[in-house]
Amino acid sequence: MSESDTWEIINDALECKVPKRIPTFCLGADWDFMERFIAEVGFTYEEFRRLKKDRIPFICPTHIALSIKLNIDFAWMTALGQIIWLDEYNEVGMMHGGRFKVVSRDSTYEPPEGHVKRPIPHLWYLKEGLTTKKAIQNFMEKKIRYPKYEFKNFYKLHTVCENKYNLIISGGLTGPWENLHFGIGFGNIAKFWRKDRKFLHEINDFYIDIALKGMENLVNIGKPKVIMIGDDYGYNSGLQMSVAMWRELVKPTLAEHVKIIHDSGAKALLHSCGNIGELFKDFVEIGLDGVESLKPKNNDLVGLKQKYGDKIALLGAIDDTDMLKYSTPEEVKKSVTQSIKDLGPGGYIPGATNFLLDQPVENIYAMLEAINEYKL
Amino acid sequence: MIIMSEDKKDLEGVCALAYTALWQTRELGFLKQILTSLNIKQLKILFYLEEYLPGALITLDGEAGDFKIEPVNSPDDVEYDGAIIGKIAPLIKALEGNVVIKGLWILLSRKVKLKGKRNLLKFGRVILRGAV
Repeated sequence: MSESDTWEIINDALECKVPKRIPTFCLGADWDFMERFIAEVGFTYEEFRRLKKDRIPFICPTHIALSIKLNIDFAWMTALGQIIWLDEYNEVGMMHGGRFKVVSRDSTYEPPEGHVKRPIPHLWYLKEGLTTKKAIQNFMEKKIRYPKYEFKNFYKLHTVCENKYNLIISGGLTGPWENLHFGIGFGNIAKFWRKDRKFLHEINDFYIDIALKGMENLVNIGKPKVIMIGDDYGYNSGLQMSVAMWRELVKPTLAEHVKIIHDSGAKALLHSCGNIGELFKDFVEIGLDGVESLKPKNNDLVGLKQKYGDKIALLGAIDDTDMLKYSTPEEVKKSVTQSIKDLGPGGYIPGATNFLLDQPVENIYAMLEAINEYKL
Repeated sequence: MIIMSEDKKDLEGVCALAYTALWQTRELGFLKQILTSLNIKQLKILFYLEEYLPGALITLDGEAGDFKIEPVNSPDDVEYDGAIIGKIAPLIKALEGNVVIKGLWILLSRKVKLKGKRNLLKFGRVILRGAV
């Protein structure tokens, strides 16, 4: 594969060098954002047909077609894995044993005159599907894997996106902490941590085996240049678990993932929401190349940049909850420019801190303009 | 026939999944072109999975470029051009073991019935050409 200019600037940013220009990042977009984007901007039928011909997914929440339309440099597509049957609930579950729900619901968006207001789809993780020890043991009898066709399709997708649309797509897998608590829930983790830690490690090892085999297949079949593991460790106020628990249950697996990724020649990133500053020292120690999300209100980003900025790249960090939602486009541009001054220009790839949701479309364009117009 | 927008919020299960699969294509305004290109004036497809009731009757309207989803409590209550009716659990369990032959056996043993296969294929082409 030829090395594209887009890859060059992303690679430089991830190696904490100053790139030729500041790249843009988009994690994806949920249906709330697509409702307003379609009503105000949309796609032409020719664009739509071209993207469909190239098998570009329009699926929320990653929505690669939107990243192409917005001329984004760097996006994310995560593998979903197989679905399973949850005997305890008599329903379909995700591969880690978590339950999800699909509904149609009203949104808060008021479309422009002439547009019909309709409900929007909503699909999200609901709660753990393995609530008892027996259910967990039954789950561990199953043959669970990431289907190889997902990685074959991903190879075709990221190749066409880089060569035809100048978009680098990071491959993704669910991380060790999310697999564990999506499947058995925070309550069971806390209970087994105190009363039956051996069993907690047994179920964790089961997930680790699935994840590491998945990662081997992702690097060997999907062949991405970057992999971003999705594993939220933080609430707004702090970590979801103690640092000691993270180091015992999560860190070794994350380190193994990083080793597999680096051995393949790719870069290793982590997406983790919330206040995660306490873990940065460990992130650097295991060799992560970058961390994404980084809501500025929850993290001392300038402090993290000063301390670790030459060792690990920062991605995201443009507040999507308040600033992008409530500011004027001019205010957005000033805020984004300040973020690049604070966290860049080397080792920083700016973007909204999570999937685009209910922010005004004009503010997203203002964010991208500010990044593209930034003078190095 | 012209279907007016009668979309309901609070759809769940199969109905919500069908709504999700078609929503973006219609919002983009491309459902009419896709249905016209496939020569579909009207197509009624029923998904009735016994573990996920109610079932969903999807009506595609080629003239209006619109669709309607109606919850269905019994497959005998409605008319359709194509249908998938049966239990989904055995199929998912078979796929857990990645046993393709077992999955085919489930279809052949009629635990999942496919009715109006050509129209089901037409519906599949609508989904493939749509914004998914």
